[in-house]
Amino acid sequence: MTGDRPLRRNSEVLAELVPLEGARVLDLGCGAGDLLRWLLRRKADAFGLDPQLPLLLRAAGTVGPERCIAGRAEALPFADGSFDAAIFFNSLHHLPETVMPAALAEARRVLRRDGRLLVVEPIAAGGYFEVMRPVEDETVVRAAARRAVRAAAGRGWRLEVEREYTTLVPVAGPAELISRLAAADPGREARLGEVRSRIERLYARHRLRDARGRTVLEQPMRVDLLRPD
Amino acid sequence: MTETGNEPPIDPRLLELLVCPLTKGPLRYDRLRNELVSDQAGLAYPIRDGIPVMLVDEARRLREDEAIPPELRAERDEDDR
Repeated sequence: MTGDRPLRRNSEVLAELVPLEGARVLDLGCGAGDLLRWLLRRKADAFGLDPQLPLLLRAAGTVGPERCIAGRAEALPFADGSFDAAIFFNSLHHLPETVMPAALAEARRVLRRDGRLLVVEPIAAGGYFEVMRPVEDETVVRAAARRAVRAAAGRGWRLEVEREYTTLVPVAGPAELISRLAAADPGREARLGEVRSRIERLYARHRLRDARGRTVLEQPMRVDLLRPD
Repeated sequence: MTETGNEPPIDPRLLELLVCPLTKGPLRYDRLRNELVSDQAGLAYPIRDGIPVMLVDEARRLREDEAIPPELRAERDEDDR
């Protein structure tokens, strides 16, 4: 069911590829702060950047405002060489394709010479992707993110690791999925109302049970680890 | 815009990390207005609930008389210490 991609958790893969304890890490597109909280639990000196202030205010509610910055990835408000690691987690494809090269160049600038950039992106396939497709078909934007990462290799970056895996996303039911998609992007609200019944049908078709009996949707992932060249 | 003085101030450690997103130049912290001022860009970035809003669209354009001439800036920094 997962093709030839191993079943992994995002957190396991991240922890393997980036030393976190004591490292200064920038979460690019941190949203409401889920990854930021996890990075802090792993004792990273983590900071989150996002252009959407309402989401950041939610993040600040749990991690504190001293770790949150409203800003754009293509115009980072940090001095050169400030971070040991930077992570685009499910966020690079949310940028317009035209600014992706600038965003990658900015990540390069704020990293130390021996720093690392992790780009974690969902692949446009699998149950989760299929169920959210009526709301927003991300096929095109995800392909654009992929192209931008490819183009960056050799232009200031060296692609050190590329890996694909499948993660299982617990989703108790279609209503939970709908509220999650709305929270990630408030602009989706109207669309979500129109396609509710299609989401319900697709959810019933694609849902699986994991080893612990939870209802899950499959999401194949791709991770690229880039190092300054 | 009101200057309440009740807004939480920015964390000093966070302030150390930040530069102007446009010029990558230094920022000075205006405590009274609770803004981060980029004299080079002529912009003041607001701080909302302790979160610096480093978005050019959200920044306030400085009036001409607000910009501090570069030769006076170092002196002022000294005074702040």
